[in-house]
Amino acid sequence: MNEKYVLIHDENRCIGCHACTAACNTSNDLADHQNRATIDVKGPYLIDGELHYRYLRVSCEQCDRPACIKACPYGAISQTVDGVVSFNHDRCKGCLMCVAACPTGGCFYNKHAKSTDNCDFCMKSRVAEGLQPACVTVCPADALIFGNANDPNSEVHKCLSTVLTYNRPVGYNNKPKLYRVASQVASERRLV
Amino acid sequence: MLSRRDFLAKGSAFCAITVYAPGTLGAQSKILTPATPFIKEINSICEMCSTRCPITVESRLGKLFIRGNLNAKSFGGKVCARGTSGSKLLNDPHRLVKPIKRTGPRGSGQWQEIEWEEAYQLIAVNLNQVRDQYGPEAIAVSSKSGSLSNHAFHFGKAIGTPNIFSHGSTCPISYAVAAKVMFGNELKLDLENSKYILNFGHNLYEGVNMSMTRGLLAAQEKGTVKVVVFEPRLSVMADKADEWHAIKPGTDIAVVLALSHVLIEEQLYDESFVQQYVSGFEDFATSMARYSPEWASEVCGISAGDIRRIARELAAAAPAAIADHGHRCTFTPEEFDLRRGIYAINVLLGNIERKGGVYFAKNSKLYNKLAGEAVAPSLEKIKVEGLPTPVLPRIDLAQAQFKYAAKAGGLYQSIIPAALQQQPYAIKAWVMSRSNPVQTVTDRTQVQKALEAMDFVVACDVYISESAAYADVVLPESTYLERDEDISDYSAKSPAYALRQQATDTIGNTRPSWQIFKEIADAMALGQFFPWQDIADYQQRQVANNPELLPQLRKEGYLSFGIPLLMREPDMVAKFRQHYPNAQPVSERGDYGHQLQFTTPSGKIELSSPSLEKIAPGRSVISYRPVTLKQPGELYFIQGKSALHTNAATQNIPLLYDLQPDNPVWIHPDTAAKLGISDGDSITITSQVGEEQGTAKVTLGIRKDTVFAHMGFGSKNQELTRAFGKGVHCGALLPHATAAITGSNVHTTGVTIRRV
Ligand code: SF4
Ligand code: SF4
Ligand code: SF4
Ligand code: SF4
Repeated sequence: MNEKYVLIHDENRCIGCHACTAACNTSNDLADHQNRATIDVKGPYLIDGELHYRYLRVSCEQCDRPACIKACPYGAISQTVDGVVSFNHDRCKGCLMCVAACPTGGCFYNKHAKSTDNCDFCMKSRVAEGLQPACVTVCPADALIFGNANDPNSEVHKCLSTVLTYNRPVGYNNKPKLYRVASQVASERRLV
Repeated sequence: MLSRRDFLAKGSAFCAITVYAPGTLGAQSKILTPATPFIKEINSICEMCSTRCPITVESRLGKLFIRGNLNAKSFGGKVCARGTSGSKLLNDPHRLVKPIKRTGPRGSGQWQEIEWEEAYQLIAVNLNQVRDQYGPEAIAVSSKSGSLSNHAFHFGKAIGTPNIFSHGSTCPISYAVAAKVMFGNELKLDLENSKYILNFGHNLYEGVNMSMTRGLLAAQEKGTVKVVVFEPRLSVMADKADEWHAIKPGTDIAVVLALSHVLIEEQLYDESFVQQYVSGFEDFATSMARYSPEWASEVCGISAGDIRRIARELAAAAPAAIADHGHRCTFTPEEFDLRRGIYAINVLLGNIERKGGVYFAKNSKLYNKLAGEAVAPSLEKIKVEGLPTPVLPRIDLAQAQFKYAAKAGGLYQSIIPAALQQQPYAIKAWVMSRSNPVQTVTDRTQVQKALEAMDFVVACDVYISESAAYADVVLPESTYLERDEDISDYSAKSPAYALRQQATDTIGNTRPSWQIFKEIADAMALGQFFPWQDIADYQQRQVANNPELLPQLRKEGYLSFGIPLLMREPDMVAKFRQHYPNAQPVSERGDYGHQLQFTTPSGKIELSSPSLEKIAPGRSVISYRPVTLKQPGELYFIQGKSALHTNAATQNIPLLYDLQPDNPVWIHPDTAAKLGISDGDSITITSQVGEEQGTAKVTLGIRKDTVFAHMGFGSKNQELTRAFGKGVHCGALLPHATAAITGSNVHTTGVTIRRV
């Protein structure tokens, strides 16, 4: 069976410290003011009578049915056999059709690479070297878990089979490979 | 209803702290070509903040990626956003990479590049002149604390000045002094094993201090700890806590004293511990009798019922319960008794040297003695003979009450009256190393005036910092990624060492501070006090009796020895004795409680300190003294740490600047509405000493009577082109005030706000 790489962001653990954002920037080719992933610290909201923040990871959702690929006239976006969506910077002409098509704002024009770009789970950088993605490597709260969901011994497999996760819903069934563990007090996003 | 305490515990049950061995995802490489086949790794120590996490610097054909060093278990192989951004500092084109001298008026930004030799000559001539004319004590030396400060401070000693300062009094000095007075030594917190944690504004989830942050996370992950936070603002720490009490600034002490009141009144404290280890309990108890929860409630607004309940919960969890000493939230002129009061709770809980309580670092000397064998190598103290003895006392010792503070890094702010009013005597020259008092000391105008009044100022930094901008000569220091340094002691529950190592070639013409201060000393004909040839020689002297330690440290970056030990934890002591057959015998309790020593005058934990009477009459016993932190009609102004910046240092670093360029002022919606302010509005914030422009962040996460901003922004130095003018300069709004005994620079005041 092929690998199926997934990333899980645990909003219970996340402390909104942006180590992930910074590590991604320093390990991938990005201008200082751009990032492939950030954490939106939202709120505070009044939840069950108490104030709480929400920690939402904002990055490419790594759709299994990616709108971006369909939209690209130049065939610059591809999906590996493991399902990872990745941008070919040499082929990209910067027409931004993908940016327009992506329902979650997952891709952006990378000024350094002069091409559209996304969080590719570090497939072209650290993961290609057999390492963990940069954001996962540094996260002080162990809030990010990455691995092969098809490997029954992987942490991600264990997590997905024992913990309630959710995806960011979009208008069509895009099947993201970025999973999220909701904050327990965050009743509005808890799945039933 | 799910309470706050479920916040971390539930839903994350799957995941013990995960460590992946490199290479576990190797399968992927069959599809994708590795970016670079060759990765070089060097282990070192971070310096983006004062925590100094052990790091591993990965280098791919010269491109650096910084992560945590996995050898340092309590740091988890992790770094924060600042830590992983070290390469941005290294490669910042705005860095200073050549010595410069001032050519226009101070602070005018007119500079000329010079060679190192010329810089040293200029410094030598001017410092010698000040010394000859006014005496060596007219030269102040200050440095951010850390391994680099050793060389700056040693330089001060070689000149013969007593006036040597760390940044401590603008940040962590209070709990250090309180611990010294009470225990004779500083304490560490075993957060990871704690069942109940009281937190007075120690925002460990934003002011990341990696091993503590991870200890707390691990405790919350287990789901067996209750965390109660008192903080005027909903910090991330408060958000993740089981209980958040938005306490009125400056009144934490009322809660603290009332907790002790209940513990004593209801006999919930550890009597046998108090009997064996404590002196001054009766005086303490008499004083606490006055501070009932009902009294406290009047002062701080927290209900008496809550205070009683928390005291009982604490006692039930003891000894695995901690009152955290707190860090950088509300400062008060009564820091001393606030921090002493917090420590007193720990004493009453009997949690000293217990799991989930507080403990002292086990350095090799203590550890080896208990083990009866040399488990851990020891470092030699490098002694230099013949250092001059200062003639005059330190400027901050003009008041005897600051005796302890003077030893703990000194009252940094005392340079200002010494420069401007010659109080108690004149300081005429200032040598500063990686220190930024213009940002961090209160009343920026006065600090600037003090710098302008100096005959000579030399700064040693990686940028033309806001303080370096007023120097006569600025020396470009190598960043921590470009220099080797002394071996540092990292002992916690067992002995440990770490080493900072050069991870990359030096950019430009910078030098490490050990070299800079040695060479200035040479130029001043004080070279004999720096007998080591270079840092390698210095390190060799440190390991003179254990030469094998150095190559090991070079390889591993961080080394710990032995097994964890808490002296009053029978299980751990039993394990320790199994491990070390020659270990010292145990007490009748089966622990090393009888070996606990306190370097206080009485040799005991001093809940009251009669010896303090001599230096500060009326201060022996912990008591409540009302403070005025603002005038009627004003709002409290408090500051705190951000996870993206270090107060005095990182605002101009690319990426970190981009992630947080300024510090919007937090204001409650009701207060904002009254003032006609909406979210994102430009505002003017005015205090008794200054006026700043900023933007409003309207949020429910702050008390109605309080406003908050992250410290370190609003630089008025044009040379920090990114950070210049961005956000509110907190130091410019804070009137000058010093806390009794601890010498802490008080960073809380009253302000008014209006829409621009
Ligand atoms: S590094 Fe981890 S804890 Fe920090 S913001 Fe990112 S996901 Fe959250
Ligand atoms: S989130 Fe957007 S960019 Fe990412 S795979 Fe889906 S459609 Fe493409
Ligand atoms: S997985 Fe890699 S590309 Fe994606 S956010 Fe993390 S570091 Fe960036
Ligand atoms: S907490 Fe962050 S900045 Fe501070 S030493 Fe650790 S990694 Fe570096």
